[in-house]
Amino acid sequence: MSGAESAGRGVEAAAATAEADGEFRGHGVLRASGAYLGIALIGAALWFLLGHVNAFYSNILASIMIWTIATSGLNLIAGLGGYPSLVQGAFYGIGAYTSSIALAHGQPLWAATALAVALAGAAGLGVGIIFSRTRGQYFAIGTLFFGAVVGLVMNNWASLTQGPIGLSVPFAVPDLETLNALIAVCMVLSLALVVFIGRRRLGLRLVAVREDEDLAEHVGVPTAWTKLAAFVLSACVGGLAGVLIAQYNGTISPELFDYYVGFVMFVALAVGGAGRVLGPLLGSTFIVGVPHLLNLSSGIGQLLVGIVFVAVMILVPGGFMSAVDAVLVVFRRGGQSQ
Amino acid sequence: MALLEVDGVSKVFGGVQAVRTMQVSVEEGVIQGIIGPNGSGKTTFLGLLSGTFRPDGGSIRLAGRRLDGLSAHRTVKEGVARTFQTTRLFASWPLAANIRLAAEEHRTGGSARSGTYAGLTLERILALAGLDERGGEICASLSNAEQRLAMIAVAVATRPVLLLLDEPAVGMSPTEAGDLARVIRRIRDELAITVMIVEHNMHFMMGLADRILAMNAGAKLAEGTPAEVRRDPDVIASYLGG
Repeated sequence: MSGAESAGRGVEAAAATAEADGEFRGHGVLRASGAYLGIALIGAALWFLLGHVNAFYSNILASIMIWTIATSGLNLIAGLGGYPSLVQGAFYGIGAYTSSIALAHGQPLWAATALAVALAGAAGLGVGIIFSRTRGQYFAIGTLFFGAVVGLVMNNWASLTQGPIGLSVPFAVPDLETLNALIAVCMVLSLALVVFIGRRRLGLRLVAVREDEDLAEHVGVPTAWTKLAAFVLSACVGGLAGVLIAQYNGTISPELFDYYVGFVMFVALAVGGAGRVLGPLLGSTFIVGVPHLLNLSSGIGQLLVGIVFVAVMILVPGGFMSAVDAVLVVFRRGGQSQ
Repeated sequence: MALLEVDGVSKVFGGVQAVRTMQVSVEEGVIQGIIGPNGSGKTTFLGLLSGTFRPDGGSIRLAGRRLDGLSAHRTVKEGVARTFQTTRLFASWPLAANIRLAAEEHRTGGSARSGTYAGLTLERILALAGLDERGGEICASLSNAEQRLAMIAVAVATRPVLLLLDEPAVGMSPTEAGDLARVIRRIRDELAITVMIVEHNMHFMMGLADRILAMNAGAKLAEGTPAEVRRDPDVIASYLGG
């Protein structure tokens, strides 16, 4: 788990201490490459599992990995930036519907994907411009509202989306093995993006906004632009995840991208560890994996998710990743004393 | 021409005239104090100068350039930095990381690699604020007085022309306030930064400020040297004698 651990710590350490001066820079490069390597190894391991477990588990794992991509995008604005966006499910849906409709019109996969990501990003730009003036619970409510609007559009613009029945998605990836590899690569890239941004000026600015937005503004951080950039990036990554879920499922319908989904994605991030690189993976594993693996009916699954969310927020407010940290600290102390 | 020219600046908050047609000019290199009873608009006035609030009317010029209407991060780039009445730092970060964030946003010369920010090093900033050796400390673990000084260090790291300090001596013992006064003088003398201070501690203010601006009910009451302001009958009536 040493790769996973360094990947998890990379962003926090880099962003929070702002290793900007030369003294630390050389060391920082080593740590960054360690984080990228760790993420790549995790991606490779999950990709291997996808191809070697039975269809039931492979299906659940693919869903977890696609959710990891979407929540990893969310991690930029909500994790690094501390803005509780509840609209990630809508960008996910925009990506799924846009790519499916583009493919149905004979576009190649790359063009459909580019269009899906661009449209999700444009939606993110719109929502960002409107709601980045609000903070905290008002931002959450505003973004939740936009998610509900997108859900209504998907349900009611029947000539485009076929309404609640949903769309049948043209398969554009030759076979399941290729699709599995594509999902693994996209997951690695989305996790790596968080490390990359976290080590850049944008990441430092986002963490500053999260810690104290007014203070950040007064030391010269262009807070409005920072939030907007992160929000658009979040939306683009959400759109990419949507393309993959559409390809994987073969059919899409509005209930996959309901406003409720955006909320659960936020819960997944918070439970896993907001602002932590591996938080989305742990959170998605729990939110998507546990109800499926226990074969719970959807109502019971939601109930369980809700109870665990409350419990995690009370017991380990930093999410599963901070629990991992605590265990590692104990482990190291034990190792040193021997 | 004065460094700062404030002409007829006003601010209304929900029907309350917090600042009314302020007319002030501040010469370069001066330590300018602002006094006045609670609610007289001192902090709002600082907020207008620093871009925290937008004025409803009037103009603010720094070395001839208009500042009114600019957002706070642009105002900082124009050379006006501020501290806050309540201690505000990125409390979970080391002090040095706070300073670096501020400095990085305003690097005009030098480079991060050499650790110089337009001629100012991290060590120099820390030394000026009397916080040598404290750069590695998490801000939340610094004492109250150190945190107040740290806020000033962060503001100085933005390389301001004009530094606005909102009650910098809050919660300080007389000794600590004396150290703070020395820090402020050094910043003015060594970095040629003009300083405006809002402060309730009259003893602190009278010994430090070159000029004093007295405010009452959002308007200017008197302006002059500390001795002049202390003798002003309006000031005595509204504040000192009250």
